[in-house]
Amino acid sequence: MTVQDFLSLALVLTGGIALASCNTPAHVGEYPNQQRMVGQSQSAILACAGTPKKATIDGERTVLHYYREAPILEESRPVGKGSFATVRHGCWATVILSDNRVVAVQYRFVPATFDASNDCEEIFETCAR
Amino acid sequence: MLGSQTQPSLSPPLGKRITSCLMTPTGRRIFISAIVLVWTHLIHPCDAPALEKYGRPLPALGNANGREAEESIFAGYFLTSAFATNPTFSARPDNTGLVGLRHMLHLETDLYRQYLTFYTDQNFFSDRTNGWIELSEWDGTYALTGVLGHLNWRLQYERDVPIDRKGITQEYADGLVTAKFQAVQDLSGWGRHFPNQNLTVYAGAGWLFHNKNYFARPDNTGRALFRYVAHADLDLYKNKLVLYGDVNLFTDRDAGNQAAPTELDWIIGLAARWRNMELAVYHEQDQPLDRAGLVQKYLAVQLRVSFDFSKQDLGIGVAKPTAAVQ
Repeated sequence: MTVQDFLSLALVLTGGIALASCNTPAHVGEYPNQQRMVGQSQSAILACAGTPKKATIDGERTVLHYYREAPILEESRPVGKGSFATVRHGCWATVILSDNRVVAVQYRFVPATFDASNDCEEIFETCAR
Repeated sequence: MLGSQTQPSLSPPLGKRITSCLMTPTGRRIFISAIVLVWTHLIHPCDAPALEKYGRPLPALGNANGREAEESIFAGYFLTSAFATNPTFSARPDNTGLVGLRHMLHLETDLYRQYLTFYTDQNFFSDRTNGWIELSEWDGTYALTGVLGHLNWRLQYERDVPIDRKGITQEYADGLVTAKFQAVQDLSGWGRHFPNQNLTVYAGAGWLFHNKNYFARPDNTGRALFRYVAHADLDLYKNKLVLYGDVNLFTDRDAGNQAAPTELDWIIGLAARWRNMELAVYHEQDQPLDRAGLVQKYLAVQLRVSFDFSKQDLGIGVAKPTAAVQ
């Protein structure tokens, strides 16, 4: 195999894997703490999850946006004489209230290809106790 | 006398072959195709929009040109570790002394979302045979890294210099590509059976395209050419207790087989996290593979304290709230 063959093969493999992985954002499922929030009052959410990063009122709906960045201690590990950096990631949790009750909680991963559900679940950890 | 005369190599070194390959039209086409492929990924990120599950669309969230104001823009950690036992891990690039303490500052910032991140590590070691406190080695690392789906890439420059006396300096620049496996995401059913645990594995290969005295064995022989890496984090409980392992293999550009590993560096450790702190105990061993020689190893206790700033923390680019919530 010549170096040109090697480069071509590496290019095809890398491109194929990159394209395939791009088409597969992480699946956003349903999670225990997320489910437990449904039905709670707005004051209860604010008391346990704290002040949201963003809040909007849209007609009869109130929407609270929470965000948690994964601690950098998870993302970067010191090894040898340097560090091994992985993916910086986080999770947005959107709490939708109607008539002062939570009707839905949605999670969105950042980036979308990285399952950061544990970060959203952590936002509501004290609410679920 | 007929003996063990060394035959001259029939083919030039791999680095030269790749360089000469890029001089040919076909080589250039391949290289340009690779650049286009990577660039098109940067221009068209493959993030999927959030799904609407309740009535009308949600207010827009997401910034196509960068991270949102609430997301981290700048983060890092301080690290200090004491080498509890260290029979052989040297305190300078010329393999003199024995490390007593290690201090490190890690800084990183996203230049373009998760696709382009800059980070630097500034590592300082002290020599336990010279009073533990005075610093003996400074290792500076500067890197660009990013993620494309399940692939991570990295371009890194590292320079290791002695501080308390003159001696050899080691430096290299490398490119590294790793693929990621994350059990909670890639293994269906994992979350059901292990809701509070996770396994994350990265593995890949790299090329030290620039090398000045970066050796291929712990006894400072050879010159490193390729590296093969694997890293695993076993999250035992909600990222608060993590068992981790790391493997680094180096090959020697002066060896007969430039792809065969000549050095194995492995680490195993256990880390406990609380808020922005982490206490870890870990063991590292660097050993030659293709011949007998110096094995460098130690056991260390390490404390890390992290910090993290968003644009909002710094008062940059914060939108006015659209409504107040009581």
